Amino acid sequence: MKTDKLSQIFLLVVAAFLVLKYVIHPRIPSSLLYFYMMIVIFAVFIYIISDTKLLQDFLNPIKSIIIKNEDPLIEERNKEARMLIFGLLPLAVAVFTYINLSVGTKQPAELRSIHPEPPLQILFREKPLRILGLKNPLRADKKNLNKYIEEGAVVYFENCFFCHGDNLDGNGHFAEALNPRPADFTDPGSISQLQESYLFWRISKGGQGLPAEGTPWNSAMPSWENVLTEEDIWKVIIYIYESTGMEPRRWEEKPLNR
Amino acid sequence: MGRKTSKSIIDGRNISIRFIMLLTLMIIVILLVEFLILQSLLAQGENLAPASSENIEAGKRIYMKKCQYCHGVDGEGDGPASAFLDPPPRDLTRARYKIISTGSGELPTDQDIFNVISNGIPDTSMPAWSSLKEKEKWQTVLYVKTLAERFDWYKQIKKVPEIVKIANPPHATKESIERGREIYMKKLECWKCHGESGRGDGPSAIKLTDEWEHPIKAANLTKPWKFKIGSAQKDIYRTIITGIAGTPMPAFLTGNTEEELWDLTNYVTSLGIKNRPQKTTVLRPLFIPGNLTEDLEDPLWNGIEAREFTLFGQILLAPKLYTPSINEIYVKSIYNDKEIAFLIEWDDANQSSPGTTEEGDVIYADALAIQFPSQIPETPESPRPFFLMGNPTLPVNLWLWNSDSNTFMEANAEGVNRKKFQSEKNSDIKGKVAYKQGQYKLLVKRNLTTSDKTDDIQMEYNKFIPIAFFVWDGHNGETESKMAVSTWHYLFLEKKETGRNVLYSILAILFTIIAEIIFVKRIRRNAISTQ
Ligand code: HEC
Ligand code: HEC
Ligand code: HEC
Repeated sequence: MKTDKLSQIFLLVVAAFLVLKYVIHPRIPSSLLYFYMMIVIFAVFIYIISDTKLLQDFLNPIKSIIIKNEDPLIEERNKEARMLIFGLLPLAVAVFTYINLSVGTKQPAELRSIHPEPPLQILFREKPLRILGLKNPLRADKKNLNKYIEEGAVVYFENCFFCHGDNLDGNGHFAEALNPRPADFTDPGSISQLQESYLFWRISKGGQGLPAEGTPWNSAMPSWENVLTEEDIWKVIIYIYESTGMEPRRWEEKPLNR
Repeated sequence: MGRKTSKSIIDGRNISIRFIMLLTLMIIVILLVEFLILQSLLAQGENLAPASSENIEAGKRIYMKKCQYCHGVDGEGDGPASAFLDPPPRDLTRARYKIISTGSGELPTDQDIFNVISNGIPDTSMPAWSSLKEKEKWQTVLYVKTLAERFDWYKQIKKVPEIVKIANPPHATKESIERGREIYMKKLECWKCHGESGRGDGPSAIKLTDEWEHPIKAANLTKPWKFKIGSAQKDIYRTIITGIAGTPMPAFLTGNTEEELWDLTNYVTSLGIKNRPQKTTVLRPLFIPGNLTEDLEDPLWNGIEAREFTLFGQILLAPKLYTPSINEIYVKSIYNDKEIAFLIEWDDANQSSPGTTEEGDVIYADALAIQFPSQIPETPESPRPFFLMGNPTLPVNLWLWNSDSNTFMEANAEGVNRKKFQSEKNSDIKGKVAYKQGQYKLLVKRNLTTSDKTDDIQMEYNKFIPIAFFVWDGHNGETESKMAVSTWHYLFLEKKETGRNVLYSILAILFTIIAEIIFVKRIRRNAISTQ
């Protein structure tokens, strides 16, 4: 197997590409895909040159084709291979360049950080609220939790399900028209990674309250600050967690990389 | 040395072949097991939840968690969400079901209710409950049946509704479709509700209500993907012979031969749009070398593919529109060196001119707007105006038409309630509108650039220009911020730069060849020096 280093490495790169392109959901935009592939190839490159033995293994098959062989029969074959590889390579590069330049096939990559850093403090109906460290005040009132869930559900079904869906999976009957699509609260990478204060900020300020890195300037998430009361928002947050069976992240935990 | 290598390659090959065979075998086994499990699950089907009190209790818990917010605690269709939905959630206490395999007005089978819960109802807010497990769905079926006394009564008198069997559909020939048209127009007069072209714009369709006095629309037969019962030939046949319970859609079984009913079915099928336009994020107009047509019916348009833009109700700012009547528009676009033109089509069962009806309902004008930012953002990542008519720092340019004055006007806006019309002299757009058989066709045209560089969008080639659409249906109480909207999409006017692209490609070839030569030279030199 040792001599096969070149094809092993080649297979690894192809596998990485296939995983990035087809396995990961949601789909990675193509510009980001190029970037990731550059990183993979760079990493493979570093790995190869870090070890002279490995580098030799890697280069040997290449060398064996390039360097003139004494045996005329082998040399004949090598020559063909050389012509083929060195002729096709520039052609492939040219085709790739041309396709990439024909803007017609492109569409802008709308890169967005789905969970940007929240502000430390917001003004809620002119009242300053510190988001950092803010807890859901209704959770302290354990006796009435069921009542809050019930009332939160009503808030949800009067205001949110059009977009976020009855199932809270982001598939409401308006969702088809939206880009970006409404947040899917049942996604494990979503609300269970967030503090309740983060949701409070997002619900209060909506898509327009997002910082620059959080938006392709197209979010239809409304701002609820002037529609719902502070308590309504805390209730609907409780309902969202309760109904999806998720736990909010607590402030005591070390922040994960969002 | 050469020998050794070739031997180990052969070894490696053997290993990898064996490995691949093993892998394939494993995959086959896994697939087989999964298939068997699935089969056994499907075979169990109905037995997953026998009508025990535990199962009904479990169904009730699911109903209270998932369904009551629309269908109401007691199933009367009065949950908190019901005020915002069209069609409203069903009152399940009357057991009037639309999607049934039984006869006209009959009770559904358990399987029918199960299917509705599994598949949802197209074009309504009733979702497909894929989040529920098979067994949970059966439990819910049991509970839903307890909401209406009729199920109980049937049980007491031991009545089991008969399943309606439908034969295999005959071939849809041209003659059959032609005969079907006669029935549609003359014998059964479907057109009175569904309209001559099937867009739900017939004269009787104006004030239809269902059994609960909720307003209801006659289905638009040109959009079969929205049919509730289904758009396959057999489904449409079923709709015709059983009607739709609780709605004005009658059953037409008696007085017609089977052949006539299939002819009618084939005609209804033929009314559907053949190729439903695709959605897109980027609208790419077609370049036309000569003058741009000003004719709505120019055959040129037939050769251009339309794009669908899906709209939703404006529910971000009050006053809101929860139940828009126009859910999509179809857009075609062309351009040349000087101008750009859009042809927009949308279905609207009533042409509205402002006023009040005899019953005192206010009718507003029908209207449409195309929105652009006043200035194209530098890059797609640069800040864009808020998609709902902009904001004070980033205003938008609107191209407006309404059915009241039937004129085209330009406006600028810095927010929903901050719209300013441009003076007639400054307005650079012109256009035409026609309304025929439930459909609007609108053509609007403007020069790519204008003299008013601050207020008017200046079209540029090879740039992603944000574009959005708004539509108002005056008969649905839509005016001002009560409108159907889209978020931002892009308009892209391509200017082929073949020369430049070829140049860069040739450069790429040169660079690669130079790199190759250097690479080969070096390796050869190194090889010689090590020898
Ligand atoms: C008009 C459609 C619409 C409505 C109505 C709506 N949302 Fe949203 N919401 C969105 C969209 C689209 C997104 C994703 C884009 C974004 O993050 O801004 C979103 C994102 C969110 C997020 C951020 C989730 C995350 O993972 O960061 C929260 C929380 C949220 N919505 C809660 C609500 C609540 C609560 C309501 C009702 C009070 C509501 N939304 C109503 C469209 C809507
Ligand atoms: C978002 C609101 C909503 C929710 C939640 C909802 N439904 Fe519905 N449902 C509707 C609407 C709207 C209709 C009527 C559609 C129509 O008349 O065309 C309907 C119709 C029905 C029907 C009648 C089907 C027929 O053949 O006529 C049944 C049965 C039903 N729903 C069961 C359920 C069950 C069970 C659940 C919970 C698992 C549920 N629904 C949750 C909105 C909802
Ligand atoms: C009195 C008015 C009226 C007449 C006459 C009428 N329909 Fe309908 N039809 C309706 C209404 C209302 C609906 C929508 C029901 C709903 O949405 O639940 C409908 C729905 C339909 C549908 C769609 C079913 C689905 O799966 O959603 C078809 C197909 C249809 N009608 C065919 C016909 C044909 C064919 C005729 C003539 C034989 C006819 N209709 C006559 C009122 C009418």
